[in-house]
Amino acid sequence: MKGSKKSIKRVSIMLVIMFALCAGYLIKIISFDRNAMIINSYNPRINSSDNTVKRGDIRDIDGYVLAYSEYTPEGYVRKYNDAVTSCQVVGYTGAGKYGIEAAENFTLQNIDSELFQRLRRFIKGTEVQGDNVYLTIDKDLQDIASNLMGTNKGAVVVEEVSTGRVLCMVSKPQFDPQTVADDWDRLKDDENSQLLNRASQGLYTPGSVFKIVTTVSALRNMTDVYDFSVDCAGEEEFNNKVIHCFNNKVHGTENIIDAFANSCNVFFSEISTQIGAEALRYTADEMLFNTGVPFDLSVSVPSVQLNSSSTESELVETSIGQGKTMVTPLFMASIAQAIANNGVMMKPYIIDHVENYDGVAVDTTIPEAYANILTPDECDKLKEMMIEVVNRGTGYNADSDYFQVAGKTGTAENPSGNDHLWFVGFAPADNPQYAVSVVLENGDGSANASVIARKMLYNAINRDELN
Amino acid sequence: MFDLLVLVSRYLFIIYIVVFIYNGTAYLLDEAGLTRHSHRRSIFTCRTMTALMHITAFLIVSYNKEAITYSVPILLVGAAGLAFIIMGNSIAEKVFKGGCPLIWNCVIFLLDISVIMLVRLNFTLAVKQLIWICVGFFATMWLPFCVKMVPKFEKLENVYIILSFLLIISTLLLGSKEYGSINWIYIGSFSFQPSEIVKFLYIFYLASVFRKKVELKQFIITAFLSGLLVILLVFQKDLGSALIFYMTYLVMLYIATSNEALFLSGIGALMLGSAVAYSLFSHVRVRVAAWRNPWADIDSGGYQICQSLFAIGTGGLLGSGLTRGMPLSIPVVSKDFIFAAICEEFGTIFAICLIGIFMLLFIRGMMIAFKCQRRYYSIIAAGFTAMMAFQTFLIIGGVIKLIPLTGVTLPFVSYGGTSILVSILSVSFIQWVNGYQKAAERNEVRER
Repeated sequence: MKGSKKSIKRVSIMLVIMFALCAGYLIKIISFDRNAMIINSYNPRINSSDNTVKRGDIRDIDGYVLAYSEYTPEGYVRKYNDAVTSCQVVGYTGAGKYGIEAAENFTLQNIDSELFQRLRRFIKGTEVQGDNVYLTIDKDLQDIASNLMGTNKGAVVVEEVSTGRVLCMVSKPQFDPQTVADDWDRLKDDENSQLLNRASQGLYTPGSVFKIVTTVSALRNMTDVYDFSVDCAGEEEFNNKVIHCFNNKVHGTENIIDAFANSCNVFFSEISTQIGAEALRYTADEMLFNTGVPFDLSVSVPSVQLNSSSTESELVETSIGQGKTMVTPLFMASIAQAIANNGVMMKPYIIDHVENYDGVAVDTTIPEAYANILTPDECDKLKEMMIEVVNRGTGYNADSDYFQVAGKTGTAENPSGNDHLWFVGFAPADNPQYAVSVVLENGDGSANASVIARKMLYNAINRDELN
Repeated sequence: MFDLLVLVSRYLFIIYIVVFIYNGTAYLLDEAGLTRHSHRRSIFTCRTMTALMHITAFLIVSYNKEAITYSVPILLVGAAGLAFIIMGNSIAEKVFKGGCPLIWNCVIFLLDISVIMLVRLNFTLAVKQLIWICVGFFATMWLPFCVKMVPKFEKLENVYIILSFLLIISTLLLGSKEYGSINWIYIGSFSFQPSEIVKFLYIFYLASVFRKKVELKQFIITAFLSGLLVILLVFQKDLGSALIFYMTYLVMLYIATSNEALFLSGIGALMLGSAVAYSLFSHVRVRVAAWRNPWADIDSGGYQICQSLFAIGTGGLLGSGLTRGMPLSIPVVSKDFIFAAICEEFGTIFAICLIGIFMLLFIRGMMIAFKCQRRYYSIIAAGFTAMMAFQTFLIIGGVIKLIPLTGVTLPFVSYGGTSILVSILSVSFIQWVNGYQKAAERNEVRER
């Protein structure tokens, strides 16, 4: 009889532990997983908004109001204030939600000190108001980038090197967030995908900007990279795959610095056969391909699909950024940011801070290092090569009178129409402040990615003088 | 003004439940002889808290915001519920001489949460639930009488186990499918889950066998029959019930034998069995995949659990406030997922306290088993407590993604006639054991 009493006691303790686990797990969900969990297009609560309270504003870094709510007798309605150039970032609400309107829905709807605010409305008739979200983007830079891109489709991203904050994120073509609900039938199936934020979600063939990765892999896997040279005849055949240089240009005998500056496809194809598919894939994975970098808005994951069974033609195509490789403009901006920041990739962010009804900042984003993807030595070598690109190579259009730009161009062949034009880089090279990534879809010559990059860097560096 | 009430109510509900748990714990400690409190005051406070919660909640759920009026039918149901809270306790105490008032209080609190949540989700279901609760309590009143009618019911082990197998096998042959499991039998318009009735038979069977010293022979027979029962349930895809039966067997065996090695090897066998079931049955693999990463398969397998997590996460610590959430977007919300709805609207703090109330109930149940001098009754009380506790753990753990989801109901809270009847009757057996022990103690004193 005694033994069974002891057993009952022990079983009781086991039950208590089981339920304590449940309680502990609930606390874990609420304190750690909550935000990542509930911002999901499958969560129907995202689409419900209470129009009896004033949804918070969305503002740019200087406080310019991009989105606000206005009182009408039927309840609050959402208004957008000249926000077309930031439309995919700000997003929309009404016909579903997108952009910051979706990602920060619960913040914009969160009524700080709700009890106090409701009592105050009951007594004094003041508004009950959600929290305001301040973004890191600058509306002036958004307007400038949109202007520079003209009618081209594509994206521009400007990131601050030391923090990873995104000062500019433009995607073209654009739409008017104010009339999304009315234009919904036209917009939702539009072949131009205006609603898509190309900067963070658009997957593009990188073309020659991928040579940054191939170069890093060569530095890591070959002992005598600088002694390696190739005689470029404008084209070369690899395992039934003919690789051409741009316009079949003959570059002659080059080392890696020349080849990087000239964006020589033959050289990089040759060097990739020295590196091997597995090693190149490994370097790409170390540089966060196939995992991607988290962001406040939805992102697509960049991918490289090499493996031990890849053929030589797949390998050489990948090494020059063709083949199945895909990147987003935001991801390439982060790569440039890491090169400029001694290899430390900062976690890119677009929400600067959140402030409550009383103007008190309740949540401020603190920049954080996300990953160490390059060594300082590799960064120095890449920087040197990227300066040569601008000074004497394919990126001459990015050469500025005011500061030294470092960068890499790309022309990505694609099945639909003209090549995509890329420029990825940073400035000033000796003390990098801003990283930039520009892509123009099916570039028709009306705009030049290198020129846009140079002008965006100039305006970002001289941001104080804007407006 | 109404918004203000809803807002303030979130704090009120937390205060009510915390005061309830404080007094419940005081009662428990007192019962265990660790402290000296006034029993009556603790119990009175618990009951008052339940009544206050009931009134506050019904003031909210019966209000129609668009029409700015109160709904009379809901208020009537609320009044009936209030009468039940005030009277139910005293009636139960009269019928069960020596039943523990704390257990009745916990049960009524849980039932009340159920009715409140159901009124908010679907008023028709709430009315049905209230009727089932009344039927349950009415049936319970006859329990002491029935037990007296069968004086030697500890000697009927063969009857219990044969009936159990008949019921389970008949489900396999005649049952119809609901939510992926074949565990319902329809007779005309009346439907029931045989596995729920087997719960009682099974516990009586085990207690009858284990009331004497457990020899190798008894162990082998019970282990074999229990294993067979569990396997049949797995074939019916009723994984939840299979797990509950298995764990109940282990606990009752452990209490009867006090053999840790046996218990631990039982757990080992469970892991092995789970691994085998995982490789054999696709429905097990689907459940496990939905548990490991529901987000990957949010359109089908992971849908339920994701919707549940959305509700819990969006509600946050204090909840959205009663009527202000979107619990209707959770699948099977009135049954298996009602805990997620409570988390969303009452908040996680309240939900954790609700787990605390379940703990009070189960600890008290185990204490009754501990105190009971007659081995047979002690094992019965422990068996029923363990069975309810595992069921509660399975569904709460499943809904919050702590463990893979198995579709069982949350005792006292989920909607459903069978669930309510079984929960109330289970707790009644525990109460009856307590009454038996108290009477025995009184007789002892008298004989001296």
